Amino acid sequence: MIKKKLTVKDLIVAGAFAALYVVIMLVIVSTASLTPVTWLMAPLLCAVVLGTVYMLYCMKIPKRGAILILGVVVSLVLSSTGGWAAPAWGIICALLAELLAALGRYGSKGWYAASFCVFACSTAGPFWMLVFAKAAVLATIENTYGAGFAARMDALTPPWIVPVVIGSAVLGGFIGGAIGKRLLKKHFEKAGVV
Amino acid sequence: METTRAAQIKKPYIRLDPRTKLLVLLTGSFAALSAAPKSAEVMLILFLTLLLLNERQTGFAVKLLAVFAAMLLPDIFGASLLDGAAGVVLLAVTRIVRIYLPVCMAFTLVVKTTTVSAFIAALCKMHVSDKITIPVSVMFRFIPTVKEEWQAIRAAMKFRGIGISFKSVAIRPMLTLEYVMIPLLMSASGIAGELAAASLARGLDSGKARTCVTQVALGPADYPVMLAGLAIAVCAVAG
Repeated sequence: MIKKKLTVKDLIVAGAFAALYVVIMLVIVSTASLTPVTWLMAPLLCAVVLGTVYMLYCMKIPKRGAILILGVVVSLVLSSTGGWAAPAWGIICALLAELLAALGRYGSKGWYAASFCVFACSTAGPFWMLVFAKAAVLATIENTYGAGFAARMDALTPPWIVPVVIGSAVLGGFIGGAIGKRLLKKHFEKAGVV
Repeated sequence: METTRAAQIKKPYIRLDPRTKLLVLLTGSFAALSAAPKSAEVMLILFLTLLLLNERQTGFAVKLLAVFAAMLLPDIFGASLLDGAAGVVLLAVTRIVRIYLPVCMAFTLVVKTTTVSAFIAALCKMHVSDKITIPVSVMFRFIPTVKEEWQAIRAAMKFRGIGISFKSVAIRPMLTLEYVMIPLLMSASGIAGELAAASLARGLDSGKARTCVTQVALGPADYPVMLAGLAIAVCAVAG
């Protein structure tokens, strides 16, 4: 299993799943960003919902590099919304997730679910800007949502919020991975899709 | 399934390179999301409208321009009149819509007016690896498909009396998630397989350099458009 290279067919499937992943992610993030509290919960929500997409994707392409490709594409999309920290962080997450999947020899659902706990953190990337450039982020928010929203956001985001958000993403990844595993078993294995 | 075929694409007045359109998408979404002043925002929208008109996407361009104008009105006239929560909500909603309008326009510019083969040829010229070009170009093609499939699934669910509403998400989140994700994933993996088969039949995996009927080269019109895109992004940030 490990030695197999990615074929063109795999790359096309990767593109299709990346589209699905990105669309769902953007829908959740743009809905969640309406209030400060749900905005902070966006990585958690994304992880819970996207776990199934990720698990099916991994089962369809159980090869080295598949997770990294999804990570790069997701990071490209995040980079247009979250500043420079998001893509760098997204690629780090994808590499770590790839490592965990490799530990499971690209065939273990448990290890894939574990790798999603790490991969899910990529959506927390934009939050790093709160550490590096909080003033700029708040200025953007104030311009868009008004001063009241920005003040509440400021109060809600002390520097330690980033680890908390990342932790919530890991938790979401755990839940999402478990749901994904269950749904795969219930629907896709029976139907012979994977 | 919706794909953009050569025959469906209207001939533009001035042909622009896919690379130029990509740069416009990049700078445009960057400018839109960087809390630009109103002048830069208006400039960006007019710029994108012109580009869309050039590609003969007249109806779409005019519609979005009208929405943008409507969304600008509360900011100009209503801000002082509306105090309290209602005013804040109205302003926030109109501003969020205004942020996403240019992104949507730039995205349409890339996706609806470029064939897949021209897009891949352009990325090849930028010396991007196959491992990125293929997934990215498939992704751009696939996003409208996801939307269509989603609409079809919703219609089918309504037909059987399973609606998706705020209520169903709140009461039965897991069940709703399953009802939504499973058909979506089923159709996505089916379509992905068909797409792969079609591409392989056309020799995407031959390993030889691809050729493209459409001439993909930066022409005299591309440089001013690129410069304008960059200038607007700089204006938006420097504001």
